[in-house]
Amino acid sequence: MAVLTVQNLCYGYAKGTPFEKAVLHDVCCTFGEGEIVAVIGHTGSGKSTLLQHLNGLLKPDSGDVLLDGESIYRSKAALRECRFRVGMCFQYPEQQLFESTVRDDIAFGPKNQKLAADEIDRRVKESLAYVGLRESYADKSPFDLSGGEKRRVAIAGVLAMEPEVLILDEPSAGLDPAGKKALLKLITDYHAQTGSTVIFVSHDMDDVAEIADRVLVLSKGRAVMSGTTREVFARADELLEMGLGLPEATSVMLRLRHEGLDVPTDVFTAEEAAAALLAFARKGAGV
Amino acid sequence: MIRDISIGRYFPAKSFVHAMDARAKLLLTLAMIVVTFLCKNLYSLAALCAFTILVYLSSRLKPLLILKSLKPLLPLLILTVIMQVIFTKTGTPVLTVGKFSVYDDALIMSLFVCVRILVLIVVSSLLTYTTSPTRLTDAIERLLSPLKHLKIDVGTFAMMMTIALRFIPTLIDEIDRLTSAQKARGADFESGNLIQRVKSLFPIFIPLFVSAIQRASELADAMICRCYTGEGRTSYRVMKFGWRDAVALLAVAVFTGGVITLNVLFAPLL
Ligand SMILES: Nc1ncnc2c1ncn2[C@@H]1O[C@H](COP(=O)(O)OP(=O)(O)OP(=O)(O)O)[C@@H](O)[C@H]1O
Ligand SMILES: [Mg+2]
Repeated sequence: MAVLTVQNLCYGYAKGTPFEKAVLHDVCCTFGEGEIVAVIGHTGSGKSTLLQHLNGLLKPDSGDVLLDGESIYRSKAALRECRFRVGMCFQYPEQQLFESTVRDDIAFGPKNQKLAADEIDRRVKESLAYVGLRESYADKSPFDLSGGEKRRVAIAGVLAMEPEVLILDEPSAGLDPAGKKALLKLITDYHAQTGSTVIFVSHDMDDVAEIADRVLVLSKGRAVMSGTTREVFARADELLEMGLGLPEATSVMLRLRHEGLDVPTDVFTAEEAAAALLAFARKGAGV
Repeated sequence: MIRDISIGRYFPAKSFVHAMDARAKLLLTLAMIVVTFLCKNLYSLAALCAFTILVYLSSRLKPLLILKSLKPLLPLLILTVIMQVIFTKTGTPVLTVGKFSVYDDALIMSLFVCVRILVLIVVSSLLTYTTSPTRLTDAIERLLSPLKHLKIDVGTFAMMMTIALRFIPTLIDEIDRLTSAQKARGADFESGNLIQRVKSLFPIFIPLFVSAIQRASELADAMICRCYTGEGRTSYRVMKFGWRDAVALLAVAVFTGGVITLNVLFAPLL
C-alpha cells in the first residue's frame, strides 16, 4: 500500500519575476508503507524541492500529493495533520535550533501537537536515546554543542513527533565516518522499531545500497528511474551518464569485469562483494 | 509572501534605465521624490502617475513584479484612508450616515497620500531593481566623496552599505528556510492572538540572529585575511555620464517644469 503518492507534480520557483525557474516537471512516484526509499540525483536536480511537497511546505503549480489516498492540500486542517504525520528534517537541520535548552528544543514539535506534559517528557527522553545522546545533554544549550551533536538534537526534534513517514534531506552530509555510521543505524533502528516509512536523500551510494529498499532517481527535475535498489544500480551506465556514482563495491566489480575477470556485477555492499570474490576465488582454484 | 517583497533586489536586464549611470539614477530618484511632494492638484497628480508608469515601463521589467511588491502595502493604504475619513472634518460632506459624515477633503487627502506612497515605493524600487548593489554603493561613495574633506570615512560607510545590501536576499532566503523548518515541526504562524503570533516568530528570529552574527564575524575574519584595512582603496569600475543620463535629466526637468506649470494654472487642492 502506498502511503504517499505524487501525481504529475510540476513546480517552479519565483513565479512572476525575471528569476522564474521551473524545477520539477511532471513528477510521478509512490512511497510504500514501511519502505526505506532513497532519493538520489545530481546537485540541483530538485530533490529537496520534491521532499518539501511531501508534507505540504510547498504547493505544486499543478499535480497533487496524496497521503493515504487523499490530497494533502484539500483543507488547512488536512495540511496541518499532514505536517504531524510526515516528519521532515531539512538539509543542515542544526541551523534551526532556537530554544535555550536541548530539552525545550526537542519538545517544540510535540508541544505543537498539543500533547500532555508527561508524554512530551517521555518523547524527549526516547528521542535523545534514539540519536545516541545521554540524558545529561537535555539541559545544555543547543548553541554550545558541536556541529554533529546539534545535528542529532535537530533530528531528535523530528523523531519526537513520532511521524509515520520520516523524511531526511541529506542527513549525513558533513559528518565524520563514525557519525555517518551512527546516523544510518539511527535510521534503521527507528524504522525497525516503529515500522514507519523513511525517505532520505543521499549523495553517498554506499549508504543507499546499505539501507534502502527502493531508489528514486531524479535528473533535471524529472523522475527518471525508480525501482528496487538492485534494479536501479544494475543500470550503472545510465547512472554514470547522469553524473551519479555507484556503490564502491559495484565500481570495484565493474572494474574487475573490465579487466577481463568473470565476476558478477550485481553486487552493492562490501559484504556481498567479499562473498562474491571469495566464491570467484574458490571457483578459480577448483579449475 | 516575504519573497514577493522585491524592493532592494536587483534584476539584471538590458534597458535604457539599466544602462544609465548609477549616480544619475540616484540623483534623479531623489528629484522624483521631491516632485512627488510638489504636486498640488489632480492634474499634476495625474501627470506624476503617468510619468512614473512611463519610467517603469522603460526599464523593461514585468509590471507583475512591482504589483506583487506593492501588494503588502495594501493594509497600510486602507488604514490611511480610514484615518483620513475619520479625522478630516473640513470641506463639504459627500456622504452622511447618521451623525457621521465623510468630507470631500478626506477623500482628496487619501488620494494624495496613497498616490505619493505608491510613487515613492515605485521609484525607489526601480532604483534598486535596475542598479546592482555594488554600483549603487559606488555611486553613493562618489556622491559623498566631498565629505572626505570633513574627515568622514566615506569609503567605510560605502563598504558597510554594500555588505548590508548584499545580505538582504541571503537573510530573506534564510527566513524562508527557517519558516519551512519550523512549520515542518508544526509551528503555526497564522492563528492565535497578537501575543501568540509575536511569540511564534521566536523560532525563526533567534536562529536567524545567531547565524547572522556568526556570518558577520566570519566575513570580518575573511576580510582581514585578505588584508582589508579600509584605506587607499581604488575602484575598478569607471563611471561616466552618457547620453542616456542627459536624456533622462532632460525628461525629469521637463516633467518637473510641467508639474509646476500645472500647479500654477489650476487651483491647488491642498
Ligand atoms: N528558494 C529557491 N528559490 C529559487 N530557486 C530555488 C530555490 N531553492 C532551490 N532553487 C533551485 O531549484 C533547483 C533545485 O533545487 P533543490 O534544492 O531541490 O536541489 P537538490 O536536488 O536538493 O540539490 P542538492 O543536492 O544540492 O541539495 C536548483 O536549480 C535551485 O537553484
Ligand atoms: Mg537538497
